[in-house]
Amino acid sequence: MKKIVALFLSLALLLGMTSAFADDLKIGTYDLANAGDIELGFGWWGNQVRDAATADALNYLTENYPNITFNTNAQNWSNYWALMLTAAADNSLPDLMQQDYAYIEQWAAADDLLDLTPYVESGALDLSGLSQNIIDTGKVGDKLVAVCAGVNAPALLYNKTLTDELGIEVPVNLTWAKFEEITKQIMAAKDGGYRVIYGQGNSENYPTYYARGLGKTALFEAEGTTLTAEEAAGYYKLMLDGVAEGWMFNTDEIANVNVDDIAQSPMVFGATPDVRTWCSIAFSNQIAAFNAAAQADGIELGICSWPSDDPVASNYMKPGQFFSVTTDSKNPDAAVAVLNYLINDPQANILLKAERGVPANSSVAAEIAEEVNKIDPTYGVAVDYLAVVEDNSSPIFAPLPSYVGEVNADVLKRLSDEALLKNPAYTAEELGADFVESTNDIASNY
Amino acid sequence: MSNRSLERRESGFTRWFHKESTAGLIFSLPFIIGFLMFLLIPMALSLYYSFCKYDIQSPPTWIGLDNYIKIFTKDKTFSKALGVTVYFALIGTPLKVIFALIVALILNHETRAVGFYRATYYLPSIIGGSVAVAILWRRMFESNGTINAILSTIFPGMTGFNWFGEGPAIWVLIILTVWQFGSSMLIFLSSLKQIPMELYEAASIDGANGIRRFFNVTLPLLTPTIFFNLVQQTINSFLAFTQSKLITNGGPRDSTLFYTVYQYNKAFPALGKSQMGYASALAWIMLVIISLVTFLLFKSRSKWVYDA
Repeated sequence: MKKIVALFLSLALLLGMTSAFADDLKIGTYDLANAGDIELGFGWWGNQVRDAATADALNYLTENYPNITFNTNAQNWSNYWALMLTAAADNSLPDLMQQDYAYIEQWAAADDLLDLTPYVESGALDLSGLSQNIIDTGKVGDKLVAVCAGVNAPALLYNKTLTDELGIEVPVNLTWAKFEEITKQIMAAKDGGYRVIYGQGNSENYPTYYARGLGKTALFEAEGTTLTAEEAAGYYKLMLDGVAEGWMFNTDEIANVNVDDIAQSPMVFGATPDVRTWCSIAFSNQIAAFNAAAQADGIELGICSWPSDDPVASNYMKPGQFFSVTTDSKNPDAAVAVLNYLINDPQANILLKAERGVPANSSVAAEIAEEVNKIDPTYGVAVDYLAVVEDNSSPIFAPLPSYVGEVNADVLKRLSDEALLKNPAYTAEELGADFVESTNDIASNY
Repeated sequence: MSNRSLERRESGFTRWFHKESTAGLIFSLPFIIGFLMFLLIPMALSLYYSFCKYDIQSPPTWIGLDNYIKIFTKDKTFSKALGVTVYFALIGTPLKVIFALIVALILNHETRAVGFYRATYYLPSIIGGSVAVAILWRRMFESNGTINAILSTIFPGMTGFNWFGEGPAIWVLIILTVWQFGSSMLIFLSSLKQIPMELYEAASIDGANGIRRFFNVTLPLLTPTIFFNLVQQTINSFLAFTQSKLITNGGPRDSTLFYTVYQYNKAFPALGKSQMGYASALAWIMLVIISLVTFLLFKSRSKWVYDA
């Protein structure tokens, strides 16, 4: 009898302990422990550092709520969207998906993202730690379809070991002239090595930054681009000149280096200076992943703004990565509880290492800073940079109109390939006119 | 007597079940299901989508021939990708078949190690289409990769050649496809064995030397096999995907953009909306092109294939 009582007591104690422990996790008001066995799907794009950190945070939740398990799907950026599109087609999106500021409008319009407003009202999703500005970035119309997980900003990450060695000071607000000067300085000292990669591929990021430097807020509006042909020509002239003067990688040379994968980025990977760069156009949160790759070569990283004639007008604070609950979720309540955990739980955010950017929940950000810094010293660097950007930036553009994806693939990539040719076939004026005409054509036919 | 009582006890179902046609049907069911699910229904759907604007996320809307009109009148990348694919098929396929034939001729001797060599030369074809080989290939041809390292030892001073530049990049892909000659080689080997020895003996008696024997005996008798390999490999070349997607991703400047990769990029873009309807139209155009090429190849058959 005694034994049974003892067993019972210890069991009760054990149960009490776990529930007390579990209560510590910030999962909102939903009774996750008694929700039964649930497997939640969770998809994100990322890199090695993020994939491991996210798995850690989810495992920690499973340790506390053994009935909740995860079916995770980590991809790189481009595969991620292709995969999610296919999943959307047969309504098998994961319960939770990572989203990007630029694309939430398109996904909300397709009715793939759950409106979280009722959950905020009921208290199941606690957003009291987030500023209203940040919350609003996840709204499309009057629906809250995504919650910002972290804040970042465009950042040029550079090989500080190299610039220190040459005694070069890189200013935090980098002008185009200074960018050019530093690159030439490094090349002169290093036998013509360490050129830069700029403007390549199908990203709207470069021309957007350029357009903002001219005083525009966005590159794209509903009817087409904000740039005139002349202004767009100025953008392509940067590339034509850079290649002609020999300090920018040309189209053929970029094909020879892998720019998509951070671990193989030419800033941190490559045997000889002629295939390497001294800097990478990136976002501030990526410093963690770049640093993980750079450490092997003993490279210390520095951070500054992207090059622009007016960095303060160009630069912006970006509500970086978002989490959304999808309309395909069969357990939206549980998914919202996990979302609440990812946004508000300090331990979760320590495990996430703030790799998606500085947590949007400011009290969590303050709480975890010391811990995360211990794990990853680059975090402090990113935080300091964001503090500078906050005072040296302009408001961000609106989420991109849906037609932009087609412009990226069919116009921007084609023109940047041409502009970066070693022996270019077109002038800056022709490329600029082509950009404006093709973009407006796509926009008006969409 | 006992037999008849057994027969009487068989139910209608059992009798139906034991019929030969039923057995045939059941045995072919896996194929029929697969054919319907993975071929016929998807093909019918894609034909329908090709007349629609369809972004996967919202239901398709009928737009008639718009996709096809846009492809033929406005789309510059379409002609570029088609050109690259035709170039790849036109150069790569004959090279591969010739290479396979040469290796088959060399391995057509009965020595003790020949089995080992055949297996070894077949290996690239087994692993050839895989992602791992594509990545390995990319690494090998990088500016500081194996190929350049070897070249610089043979030709001192030749370092850092850019294999992924606009001219050579397509050749990196062609070399890869030629390297995967194994299955054609095996087919050649088996038909080489079927050439009657008497013909060679007769030719020798008539005074034909080795080269003469090859061109007047071996080659004519191999033409049906060459034809088969040519058709097979041409179709494969038109449908090649992995190499272009993984090694060069179509670049630089779309100079290695295979048709299938272009199609894939339209259906599953890295950014923005899918253009599944447009991609479906591209697929149907490719089907017509392949049918046409195959038809022409069969048309040419009577001109050069020796049917005994």
